[in-house]
Amino acid sequence: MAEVEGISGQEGNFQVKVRQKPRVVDMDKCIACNLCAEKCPKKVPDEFNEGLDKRKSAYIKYGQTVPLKYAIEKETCIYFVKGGNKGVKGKGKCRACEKVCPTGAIDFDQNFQDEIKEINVGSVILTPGFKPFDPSAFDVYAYSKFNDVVTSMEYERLLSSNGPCMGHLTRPSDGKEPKKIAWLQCVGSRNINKCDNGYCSSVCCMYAIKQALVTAEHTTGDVDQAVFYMDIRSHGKEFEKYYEQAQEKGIRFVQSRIHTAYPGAEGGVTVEYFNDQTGERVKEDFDMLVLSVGLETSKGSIDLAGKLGVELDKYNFAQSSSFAPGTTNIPGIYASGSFQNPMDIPQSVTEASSAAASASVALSSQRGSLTQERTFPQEKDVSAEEPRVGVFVCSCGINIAGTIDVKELSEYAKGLPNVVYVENNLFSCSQDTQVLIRDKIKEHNLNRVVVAACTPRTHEPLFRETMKDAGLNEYLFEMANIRNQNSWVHSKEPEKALEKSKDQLRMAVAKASMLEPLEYLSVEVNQSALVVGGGISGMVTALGLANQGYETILLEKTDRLGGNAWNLTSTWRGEQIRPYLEDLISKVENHSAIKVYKNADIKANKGSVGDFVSEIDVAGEIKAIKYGIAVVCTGGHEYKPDEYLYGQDDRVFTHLEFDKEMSEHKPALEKAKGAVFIQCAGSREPERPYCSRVCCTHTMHSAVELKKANPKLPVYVLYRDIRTYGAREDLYREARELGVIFIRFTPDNKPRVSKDGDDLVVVAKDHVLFRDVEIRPDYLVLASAIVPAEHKNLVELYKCGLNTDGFLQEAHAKLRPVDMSVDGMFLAGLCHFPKSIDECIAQANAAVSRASTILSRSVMPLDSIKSYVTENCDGCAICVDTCPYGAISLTDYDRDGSMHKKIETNKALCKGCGICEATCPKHGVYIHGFTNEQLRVQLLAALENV
Amino acid sequence: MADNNEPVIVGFLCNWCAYAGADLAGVSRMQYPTNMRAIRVMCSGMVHPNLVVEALERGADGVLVLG
Amino acid sequence: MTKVTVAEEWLNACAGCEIAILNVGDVLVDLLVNNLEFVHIPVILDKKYFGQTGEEKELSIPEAVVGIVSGGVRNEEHKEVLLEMRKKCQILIALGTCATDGGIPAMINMYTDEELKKFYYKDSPTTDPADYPTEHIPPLLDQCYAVDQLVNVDLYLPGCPPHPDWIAGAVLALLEGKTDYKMPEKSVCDSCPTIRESKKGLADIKRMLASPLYDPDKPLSEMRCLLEQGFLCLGPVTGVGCGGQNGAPRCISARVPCRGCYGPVRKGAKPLVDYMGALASVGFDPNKMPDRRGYLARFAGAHGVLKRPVGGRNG
Repeated sequence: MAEVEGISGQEGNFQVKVRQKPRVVDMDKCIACNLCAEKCPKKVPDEFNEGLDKRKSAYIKYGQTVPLKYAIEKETCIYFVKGGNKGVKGKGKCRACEKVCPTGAIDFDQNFQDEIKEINVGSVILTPGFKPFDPSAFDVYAYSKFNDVVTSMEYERLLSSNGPCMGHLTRPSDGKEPKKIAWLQCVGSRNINKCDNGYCSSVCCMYAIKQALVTAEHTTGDVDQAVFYMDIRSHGKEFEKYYEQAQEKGIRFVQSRIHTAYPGAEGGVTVEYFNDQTGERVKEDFDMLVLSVGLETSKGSIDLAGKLGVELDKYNFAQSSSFAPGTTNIPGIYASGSFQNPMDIPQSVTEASSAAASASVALSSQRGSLTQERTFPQEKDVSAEEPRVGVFVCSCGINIAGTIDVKELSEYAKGLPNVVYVENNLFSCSQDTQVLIRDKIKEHNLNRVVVAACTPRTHEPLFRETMKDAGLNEYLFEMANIRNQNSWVHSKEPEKALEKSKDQLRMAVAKASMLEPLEYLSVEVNQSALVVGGGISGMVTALGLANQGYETILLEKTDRLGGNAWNLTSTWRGEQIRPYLEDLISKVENHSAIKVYKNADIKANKGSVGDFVSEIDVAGEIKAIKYGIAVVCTGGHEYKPDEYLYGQDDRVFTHLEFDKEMSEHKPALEKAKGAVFIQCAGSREPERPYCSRVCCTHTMHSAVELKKANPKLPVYVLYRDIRTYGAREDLYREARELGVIFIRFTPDNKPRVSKDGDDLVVVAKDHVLFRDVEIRPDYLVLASAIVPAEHKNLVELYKCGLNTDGFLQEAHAKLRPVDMSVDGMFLAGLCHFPKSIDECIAQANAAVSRASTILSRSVMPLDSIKSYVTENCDGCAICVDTCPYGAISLTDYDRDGSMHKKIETNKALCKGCGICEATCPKHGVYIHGFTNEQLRVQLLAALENV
Repeated sequence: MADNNEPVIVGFLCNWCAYAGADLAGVSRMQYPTNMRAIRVMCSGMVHPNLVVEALERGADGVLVLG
Repeated sequence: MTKVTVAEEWLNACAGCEIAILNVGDVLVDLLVNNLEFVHIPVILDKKYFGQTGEEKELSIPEAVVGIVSGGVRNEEHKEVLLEMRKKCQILIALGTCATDGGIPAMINMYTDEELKKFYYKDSPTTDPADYPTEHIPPLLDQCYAVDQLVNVDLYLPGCPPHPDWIAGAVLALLEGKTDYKMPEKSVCDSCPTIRESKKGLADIKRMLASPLYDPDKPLSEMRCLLEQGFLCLGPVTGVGCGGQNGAPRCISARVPCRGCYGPVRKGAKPLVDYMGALASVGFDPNKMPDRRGYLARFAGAHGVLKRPVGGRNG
């Protein structure tokens, strides 16, 4: 609800003028009870559900909103629209929400004016996101004419369980469940005819496949689904497998563009397209047509860029360089996410961390200067005391009390074992109740507290602070979730809800009585880093860390830095790589905070986040090193094909070999008869089922160069799908314009390469002519796969994971694309997945940013919910392998003169998941706060009356 | 749940997904039967099979492990 | 000094436990001189339950301070003897896994009486088919019980057979007036010195027809854990003690996997669930194991652990 009005100043010291629009609702008082929305008489289209249903003027945008606070929309609210706030007599009388709000959070006489705020910052990051393309202008798809033609964004909402049809898919025209659905790709992307979006939006193929796969979960019976596409672009990590899975599940992929949509006989649409297998025009009926709309920059974002003076490219994305992704033309202002380029979630998350790293370099000297720490009284030792439980039952206004008889629940609580004090509060989370809870803890000498209210996921931290304020260990606290998981979901069954709330409270009290104070854990952080691999990713990471002020060790296994970049000439944007590379190497080698070891490898490792200790072999000499975090940038290399006469004829090259050939013998092109590129050499094959992401762009780049050098040279590209995502699509268009000939092949009919005398003969079946075409080129370039470095050693030493293709596994495919599952370890570059230089640099920057979250503090606090070994453990070691974090090890110990075994758990590695607890056949290992006994008493309490 | 023939279901809900989902069902005011009693766990992987067996032994009609 | 009187009985048992008592050896001999007196031990000393000439109507066992019972309870006679023992003895010891957990005979709990009779008297390949006898046979109970399912037990000494160390330990403790003598609540692994490296790769389970890898000239501490070698060693879910106070597990010392003869690690434990859960966690598919219940509850079928299939077999 805020907008940037303008900006002044410069890097390190910007003044940002922000217009804060009124929420009308006081955020400190709002408890998100929804009563204002319930009472609000004004219905308006719900923009979150793409206008497919209605919301009120008093609203939250969606259920997961953070913070979960309501707002009154001034533009539609009856009171404001009728001028009530302007003191117009007899106008604007509604104010219904104000009257019904139980906490007095709504005040129309206050908080209704725009506020202008001045904010002083050192750096600015622009992340305004994208706007889905509006297909109304494409009359042939009849989006504005037929209700059953929807955009993919609308379809997404139709599928959603909190969308307009509650997750049970129905079509808009008549509310019937669709049985046959079509997707049309590239609506508003790869199109310079009806719109100016010449770029590929990068994400639509995958979201269409996802929607098609997920549709089955939201419908009954079989659904016939067809995706009409130009090229399927599943170039991300694990994406190709997902595409294959969709094909196996029977989703039809039709390589054709629907040219017109007609009204269907009974709702739905009839689409007409050209079947390139039969050469016929086909009319086919569908119940729904989903337009896979592209991503574009919104007008608001363009205006924002204008106000800030940030230059945009011809497609209105922030102008950036491959070597400094996320920077703009203005120092100190950065861009990330789809404002830079259309991109998917993992790439956006990576770019966001990258921008954060760039933005914080200039600020690193001021790190921590504005933070304050809270202090708490000395903690009281209650371990020897009998449990004395205090219960606070929250009414939450009428949110709980309106359904559950809280008075009876409070009475019931008094009779529960160990309960010595019970009180009912109107709002247990209010500030004065915190004071009250603290006082009651002291007054009644409580040593355990149970709050029956909302969810611990949002409110436990608040009450834990109160526990600490009262001098109690914060883990002596338990919640009973009688709002989110009771009164709100059983509002029509008050009696059963009361019974359930009693059970919930009894379970919480039973668990509370078993709770024990937990130790606050932390690890001391060695504020230095190890970077493994001295290619571009590794060097950018090392330089980034060093520029943030951290001592960094860079290991390179060969005798020179640079890796694959030595073999590359220019980026897809045409920037020369060699000067950048040489400059980067010199910066790295001359940086006082970077220690480079060449011919180096890791031999042994122990320790964990904050405190790793390794042995490295540097040209035969063993050294011990210590560091707090590690970034793995071990890279990958070009696959050497075993087909298409590779290695048997010196006219057959890989991409990198061909680049080298061109840089050395370019004049030979003058006399050449032709060049052929074969795509997917080693990629998208059974033994390497992934797409290598960069090869299509590389081929386009080379093909364009060839055509520019010798326009008469026949150039052919034999391909399966062209995957020039984002603005790389321009290269593909340019190649076609320059006369490069594209011939599509399928895996069951791959091009055949043979020799006829001295001639190299390539035969491929032309997909338009349906006939074999014979080409006799001088150059046959194989767009060969990228394969990951060998990681066996690393996996053994650090217990990190690989995916089935041998690339290192990130902690979460979407949300943590730079972290590894081992705490304190990060990854960047080709070891993660094939990617272009700009993407490698962004990921390396992101690794710097992620690593800084650990390295910036000398002590890292740890959660206390960790595993611990009980006296029952006798070292059978079954749990050791089940720990996903490698936190468990086996040790010998002496007991009464004889040797026995037991496990030890590493607190820094343990995440408290408890798989060990569930594995152990003898209660030998537990998780603090979730021991088998603690779960069991809840279970017994739940079943007490059965 | 003292009386009647209402089935009793014990649910072990992962804090990070299923429990959050149950909370969101509340925020969205979805209505569902009252029969489940939820036990919050930090990962559905921490639920020992013995707890499931014991729940059934002690009269639960069903056990949900959600994660 | 007055001797402490001891009565000993065997129920659904094989006399192995009584041999274990004798195997206490020198300690026992010393104690018999001054401290202990067996007033009743029909395995060794003849005893007429209904008087020397059968003149009594009621079964009788002499009173004793300590009662030791081996064997589970399978028929009315076992039950009658057990109840009499409980009545006459101040402290009752359940000796051996049959008494503590049902033992081998409790595997019958998976079958109906009809199945038992049919197999035992007719179908068994080593038996000449005959009718089921109706006379001079005590009626069967509905299942094979552990002793504590029918009477209160003060002290548990499991094992098949129990190691003499624990018998001696219990007796000495009692003589010192300590009645809270308890077996350690750890598993066989606690006393097992084998090497443990990784439990992964258990998908390939071996039967005992195969031989584990070991060097017979090297001690047990240089052999890889049998479970890790793919043998379904029940050590992790079996109570420790078969090797005595400090010895290595007996079966594993003979280079064969633990079969579970000491019963569950502690009272109330569910070895069946515990074991399958643990193995499933390391990637083993429980469905691959033939006769899971029989294998895992071979010694601990009482206490409702082994049940007849609901609705009869094959249905």
